[in-house]
Amino acid sequence: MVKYKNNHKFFGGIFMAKPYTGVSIETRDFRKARIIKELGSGGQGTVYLVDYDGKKMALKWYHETTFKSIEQRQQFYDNLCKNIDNGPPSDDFLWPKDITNITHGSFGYIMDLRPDRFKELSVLLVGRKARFKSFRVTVDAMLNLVNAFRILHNSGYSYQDLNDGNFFFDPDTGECLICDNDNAAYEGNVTGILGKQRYMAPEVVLGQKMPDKYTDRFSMSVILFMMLMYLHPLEGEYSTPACMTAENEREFYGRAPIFVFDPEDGSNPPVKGVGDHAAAIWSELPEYLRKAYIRSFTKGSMTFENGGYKGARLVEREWLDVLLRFRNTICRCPSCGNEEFVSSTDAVCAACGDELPLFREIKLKKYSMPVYPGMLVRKAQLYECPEREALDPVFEVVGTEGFPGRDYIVNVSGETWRCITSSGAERLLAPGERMPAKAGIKASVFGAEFEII
Amino acid sequence: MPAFGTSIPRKVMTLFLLVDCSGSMAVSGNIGKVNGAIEEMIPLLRNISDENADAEIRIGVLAFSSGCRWIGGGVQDLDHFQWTDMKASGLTDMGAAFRELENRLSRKEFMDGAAGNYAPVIILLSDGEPTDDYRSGLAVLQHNNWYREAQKIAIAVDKASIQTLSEFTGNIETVLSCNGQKEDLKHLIVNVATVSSKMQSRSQTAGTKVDEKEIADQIRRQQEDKKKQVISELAHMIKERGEASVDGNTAAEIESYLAKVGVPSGNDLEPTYKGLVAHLKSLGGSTGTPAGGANGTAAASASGKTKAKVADPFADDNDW
Repeated sequence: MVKYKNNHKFFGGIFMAKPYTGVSIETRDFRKARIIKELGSGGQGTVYLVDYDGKKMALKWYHETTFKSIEQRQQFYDNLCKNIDNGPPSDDFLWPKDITNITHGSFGYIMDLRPDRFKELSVLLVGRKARFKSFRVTVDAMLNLVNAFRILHNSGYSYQDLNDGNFFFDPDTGECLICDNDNAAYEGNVTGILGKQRYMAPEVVLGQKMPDKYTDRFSMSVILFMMLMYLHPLEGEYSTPACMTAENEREFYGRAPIFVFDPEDGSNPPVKGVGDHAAAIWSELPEYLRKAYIRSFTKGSMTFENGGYKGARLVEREWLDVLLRFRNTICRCPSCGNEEFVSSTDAVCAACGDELPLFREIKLKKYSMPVYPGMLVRKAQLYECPEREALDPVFEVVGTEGFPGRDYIVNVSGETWRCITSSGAERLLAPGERMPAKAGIKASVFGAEFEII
Repeated sequence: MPAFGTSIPRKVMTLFLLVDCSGSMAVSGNIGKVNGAIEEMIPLLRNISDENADAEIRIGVLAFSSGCRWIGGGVQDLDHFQWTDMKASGLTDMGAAFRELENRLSRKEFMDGAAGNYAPVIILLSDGEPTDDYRSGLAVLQHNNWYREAQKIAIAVDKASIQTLSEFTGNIETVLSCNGQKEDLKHLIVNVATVSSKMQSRSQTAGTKVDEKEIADQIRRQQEDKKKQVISELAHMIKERGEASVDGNTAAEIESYLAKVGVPSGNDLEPTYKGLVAHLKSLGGSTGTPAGGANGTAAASASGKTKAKVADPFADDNDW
């Protein structure tokens, strides 16, 4: 980092090092942002509440020292301008909306305020101030994150700094909000930000590569593992020295990372008393999800050599497949409220011992899953739809109070389904209507078929 | 399934405060400021810790005078932090503190985080020369790997020898000096503790180590920024009163302005200048023409009040 130089500039008529309450700052679009108060300060800059053309918005103002050179600052500034001009990839991004002129050694950008219901991922992982409501909401949150990155990456961007401080979720619904989009850049452009240790891909840690879409995907799989397992995938017995130094970090996250559940290398299992919870969850995970994690953290996909990877990391579409399927195996025990991962109708609640009221399965093209109230099937689970519609609902299952197994499938797709009843008759199901989860019924919508068995 | 709802395992980052509790700390009243600082930093540290998925922060306070002792018995977590004010009397047995710290900087003793530890932060605060053989104590401590990896910062209060304290930190740049009568010692301690803990308890960019000089620099910068910010805001307030302009933006000018309007100067500790701020606020409404909100002319005209006394209508927006 550049040493601080005592070169305070003339600021708003007064010698200042950073903006303060009351100052108005002009933006590139000739609007004014008047600073109301400071909201928080971090490594890169300070965020202020501002009055922007009569609307309350946020201004992130960079510390002068964030930029190593005037060239880097200009590069960063130009990149932000480009992002603003392009507009947000989707509503999941708290995207820059306007930018101030470069003045007094630095600049800032304007964005919407983050609603209070969204909590930082690090806060949710610590679980002291807020936490996800359930496994199911957690998986919904993971899905929203993956989907947002699918859209971002397919729009040509890479994010370059995925870590636990940049993602915010509503812990009750799983909705996500991706912040700090100032690092996002078109593929091939680098912003000079490497990311945060523990989340960076090994090849970035080692300096073999600058962040890009592929390194984003590694960071994303670390986050997808931590959100579900409450453990870092590379932190086990081997990689937990008494004192974690910078040299150690380079070793355990860069040169020789080992997955805690690597089926071919058992040298880094979760630390006893620390990773027990994760080990218990791991043993319950369905095979396809375990495979996805293993593929993400196998030595091959963590090794970058001769310009390529030895193993392929999952692309977002693959994660969507895995997580959409997994999401619909998380069933809540009606007796005690415990959540179970169910793979067939033959399931017992581990907490209270009750048999779970699962009677039917829905058969999709590639697999089937037990029917239970609360399941929600989305477009991407059935067919190849446009990216932005991937998480749109197709049907949900509702139960009947006091009648276990009397479940109904509600058409929430907005399209009429063509169905064949259990007796073989043709029948249509209009949007909003429901049909019983009765064996033998077949339905088709969006060119996909499913059957109740 | 295991029940949902857990916390991610975190490493531990311990903040050690080695506090000089010799008699002179009582005479100057500085011990009260240190006690106040520790009480006030706890909720701030807890907040930093609760939002940090990398590490949990713990704190250990070692008071040294004639001998040394751990307040609360040793390292404590922030949820169960027990605090009794330190009393100052006796000698400055800094060497004894170094030996005691060396004994405890061990995985079997205080550095027992189940998920591992980050290197600690050690802050040494003193207002005088050690009275024991501190060099032999320091020599022992210097062989301890935790000490070597630690971020070491010293606060030299009043007449403390910066040279001596730099032997502990290993670098003169990481000794911050503070004149207890002129500067806000409590503010400085809280700032050093929170900034260093925040930086040291987070995973960093690849292969870079948090540099203690950087921590010290950041604190100096923040103190400087704060000072400038408060002075600027005060100058702004005076300007809004519409009766005088404070061009140079120095504390002295603001003081002389206050004297001119009949307010005595008080305890104006840098960098927050609480006295100045309080005095200016005590003036209440303007004796001249109020200019409305903080954005000066715009607010004034919007509220229908006169803008006659504002000489330059764009003074506030200069260059923006």
